[in-house]
Amino acid sequence: MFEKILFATTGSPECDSAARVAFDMARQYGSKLTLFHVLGIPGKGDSNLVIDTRTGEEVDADAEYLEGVADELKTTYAKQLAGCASCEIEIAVGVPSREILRMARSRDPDIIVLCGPAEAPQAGFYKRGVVGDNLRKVAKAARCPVLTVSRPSASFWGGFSNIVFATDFSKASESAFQFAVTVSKAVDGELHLFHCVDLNRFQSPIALTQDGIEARLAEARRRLQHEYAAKLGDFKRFTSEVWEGTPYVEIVKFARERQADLIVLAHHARDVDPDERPFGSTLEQVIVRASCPVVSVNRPDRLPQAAEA
Amino acid sequence: MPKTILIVDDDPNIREYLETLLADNGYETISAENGEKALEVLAANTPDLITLDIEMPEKTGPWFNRALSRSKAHAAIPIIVITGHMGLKYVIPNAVGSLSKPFEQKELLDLVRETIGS
Amino acid sequence: MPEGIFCNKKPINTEEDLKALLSDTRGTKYYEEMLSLEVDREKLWDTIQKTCKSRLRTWLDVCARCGLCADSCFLYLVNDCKPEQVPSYKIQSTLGEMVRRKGDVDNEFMRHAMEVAWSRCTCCNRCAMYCPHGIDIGIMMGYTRGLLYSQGFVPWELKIGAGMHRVYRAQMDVTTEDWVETCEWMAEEQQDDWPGLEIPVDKEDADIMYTCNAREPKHYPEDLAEAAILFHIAGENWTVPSEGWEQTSLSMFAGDWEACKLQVQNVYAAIDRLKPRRVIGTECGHAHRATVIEGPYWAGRPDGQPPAPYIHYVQWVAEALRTGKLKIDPAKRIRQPVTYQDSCNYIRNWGLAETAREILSYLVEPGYLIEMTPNKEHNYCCGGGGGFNGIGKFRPQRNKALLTKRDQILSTGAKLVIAPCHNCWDAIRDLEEEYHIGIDWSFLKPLLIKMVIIPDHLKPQDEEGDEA
Repeated sequence: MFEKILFATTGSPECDSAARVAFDMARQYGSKLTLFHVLGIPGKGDSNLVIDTRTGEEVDADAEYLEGVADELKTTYAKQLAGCASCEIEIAVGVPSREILRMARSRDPDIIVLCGPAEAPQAGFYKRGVVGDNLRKVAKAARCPVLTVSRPSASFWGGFSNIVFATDFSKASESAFQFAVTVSKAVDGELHLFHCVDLNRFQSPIALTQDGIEARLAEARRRLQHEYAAKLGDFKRFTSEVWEGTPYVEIVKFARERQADLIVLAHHARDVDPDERPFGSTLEQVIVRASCPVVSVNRPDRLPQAAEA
Repeated sequence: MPKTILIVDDDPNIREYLETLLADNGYETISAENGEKALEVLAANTPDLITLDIEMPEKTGPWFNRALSRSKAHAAIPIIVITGHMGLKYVIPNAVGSLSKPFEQKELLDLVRETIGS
Repeated sequence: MPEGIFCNKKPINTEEDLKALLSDTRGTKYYEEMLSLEVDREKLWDTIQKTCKSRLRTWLDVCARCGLCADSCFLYLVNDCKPEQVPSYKIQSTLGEMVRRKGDVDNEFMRHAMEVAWSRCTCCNRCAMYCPHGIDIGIMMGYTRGLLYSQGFVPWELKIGAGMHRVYRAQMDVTTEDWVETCEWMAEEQQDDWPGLEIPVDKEDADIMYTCNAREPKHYPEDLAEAAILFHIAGENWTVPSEGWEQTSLSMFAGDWEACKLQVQNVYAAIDRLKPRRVIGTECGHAHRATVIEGPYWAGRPDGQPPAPYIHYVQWVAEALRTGKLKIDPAKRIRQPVTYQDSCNYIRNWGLAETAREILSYLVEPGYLIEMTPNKEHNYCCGGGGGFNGIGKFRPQRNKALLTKRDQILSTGAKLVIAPCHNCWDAIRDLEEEYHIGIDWSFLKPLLIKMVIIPDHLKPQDEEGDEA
C-alpha cells in the first residue's frame, strides 16, 4: 500500500517517535524508504556555509561534511536501517520545508512522514518554527498524504488497525475519507467516523440551548451517514459518532476512547495565518496532542490504491 | 487466596526479576513475553493485576491494552505500566500507574499493594 | 611565475574548476597560496594605462584631502573614526599608489589592497554625495577591485561567485532545466489558492519580462510564486525567459568585468529574443545596478540603455498601486512601527527614494512609518553590500559594520523593517541573528500579498464546511 515512504528527519532524538513509525511502516508494507535530512539553511554568499538547523551554528557543508552527516545518520538509525529492506539516505541544503517538497516532487512518495512540532515555540530565525513551519508548508503543498508523529506515546502502536476519520464536511475531507477507507480495508481494520460540532462558532454556547445543540448533533449524524457511511459499500466494520465541543479537544478524546492508532484529517488549502491562529489549526493541535500518528490529506491525486482483496 | 499478577514484558531478565520480587512478597505470578501470548494466558486465567511493558516486538503494549479492553471479563483488570521509555507515562490512558525502568522495589510494591492489597 | 592551484590569475570557467575551488573549505589553501601569488607588474600598469582614464585620474589628482568624506562613510564612523578608514585615504593608498608607482607593487601591497577594497568599502557611493568635488570613491574602489581580480587577489567566495556567472550565467548552480522546472513547480503548487496561475516561459511580445535572483529558484522559490501571484492579481501580460532570467552579478562585486559582460549580455539576448515592452527586475539592488545601470556600458551598448525599458520592482509596485492594478485593503495596512531600508543601489544610485515612499503611503497606516536617520539617498549601507555579506574572511568586519544599521533601526523603535533588496534583507537577518534586537523584516511581495484585495474572479471556489 505504501510503496514509497519519504521520511524527513532532523536526525535528533526529537524525531525518534516519527522514525519508529516510519520504519515500522516500511517493514510492514515492504516500502522503499527515503531517509531525508535537510542539513541547514544556506548562510551567505557562495561558500558552502550553512546554518545547521539543529544548532543554529555555521558549518561548512563541503563534501566531507556531508559525508560525515550521512555517517552520523547511519549510526543514529543503525538498528532500524538494518531491518529495512530498501532504504536510501538523502541530504540537502536549504529551507527544510522547501527541500522536503522538492524531494517529494522528485521521489513521488505515497506518504511523507514528518516529526511533529513540540508544544512550546522555539526562538531564533533559524530554529524558530522549523518544525512547525515544516508541517504547515509541507502539509499544505504536498501532493500525497502527510503523516506526523509528535508525542513518543504516539509511536508505540506497531501498526494501523483502528482508524479515526474526523471530518468537517469540507471538500478536502473527501480525499481524507478516501484515504481512511483505503487503509481500513487494506489492514482489515476498524474505521471510526467522527465529527465535532464546534461550539466556539456560536456567539455564546450558553445562548445555544441544549435542544439546539442536540439538533445540530442529529443534523451532523445525518450528514455523516449520507456523505460517508453510505459510501462504504460492503465494508461494515465502522462506527459513527458526533460530539460537541472544541474540535481538536474532542478529536483527541474520541481517538483515545476508541484507542485509535491512526487519525486522518483533511488539511485545508487556505493558509492559516499564524497571527490569526496563534495556537495553530485543528490539525496542528491534534498532532501535538494525539496519542497516535496523524495523517493529513489535502488532495485526491496521490492516494493509496487498495490492493484487490 | 494469594493475588495473581500477569507480567507482560519481552525482556526475560525483567520477567525473572519481577517474578522473584512479587513472589517474595506473597503474590503469584504468570508471565508472557508479548501481547499475543498474554492474551492466550488470559483465555485461561483471570489475574488481579497486569504489569505491562510498552515496547514489544509485533504486538505492543498499547495493542494489547486495546485487545484487553474488548473483553468484558478482562477490561477491568488494573494495569501498571513498566517501561524503559521516558515520556510514556500516559500511553495507556486507563493505567493505574506507571514506572520507568529502573525503578525502586518499594515503588512497585507500594503501587501493587495500593491497587490490590497484599 | 608560480601560480597556485586554487589561487591564480585565471578566472573560473568550467564546472570542474568551480567544484575544485568550492572543495577548498573556506578557501584555506586558496589564501595560503595567495601569500606567494606574484604580481604581474607589466600587465597591471598596462591595464591601468588602458582603463584608468580621465575621470578616475582627475578624481585621484583633485582630492584636496579635506576630510569631508570621512564622516560620510559609515565604516569610518562605526570603526571608531580610525584614520585608515577615511575614504580618501582608502583609495589613495590603494589605487592611488598603484597609479603613482606605475603598477610597481608587490604581493603584500595587493593583499592589503584586497582587504581595503572588500572589507573597508561596500561601494555604497555615499561619500560621493559629500565630497565637494563629487569624487566617487565607491566607483574608484569598484575599479580597483577589477584590477585586483585580474591579478588574482580576490576573496575566495567572490572568485567562486564570478565563476558561477561564467559557468551558469547565474550566481548559483541553477541550470535552464532547473529554472524552467521550478517555474512549473511553483505554478502547480499555487493552483489551490490561485487557480489559473501561470508562470509563462518564453512568451514573445509580452508587456513584461521578469528577471530575478538565482537564489530564488534555488532556495526560496516562494519568492517567484509571489511575483507570479502579484502579476496575476494585477492582470499583467508577463513572461520569464528560459535563459537570461538571472539579473544579479556577483561578478560585479568580484571585479570580473569579462564575466559581468557575459552575464548581462545573456539577459539582453533574452530581451532581444522575447521583445517585451519592458523588463522588471526582482527586489534586488545590485542586480538592478548591474543589469540596468552599469550593464549597458559593459556590453558596449551605444545609448547606455538596456534593449528595452528596464525598471526595479519598486517602480512596478508603485505604478500598480497608483493605477489601482493592486488595491490595498485599508483594514490590513501596517499598524505597527515600521521603517524602510533605503538600499544604495536603487535609491541613492537610481533615485527611487520618493517612489518607495509612495508605496509606503499605501501600505502603512499614517503615523506608523518612522524614517531612519539619515534616510532616503542619505541612508547608510545595510552593512553587507558589495559582497561583504558573503566573504567569510571579513565576517568580523562585516558584523561590526552591521552595527550602524542596527543602531539606526533601534533609534526608530520600529518592529518591522521593509527591505526590498536581497543583500539588505540578508544583512538585516544577520544583524538580528547576531544582536537580537527583536525585529522582523520583509520584502515587499509577502506584505503585498497579505494586504491586497483579491478580485472575485481570481478567488478559488469556496468550499463548504467549517474552517479548521
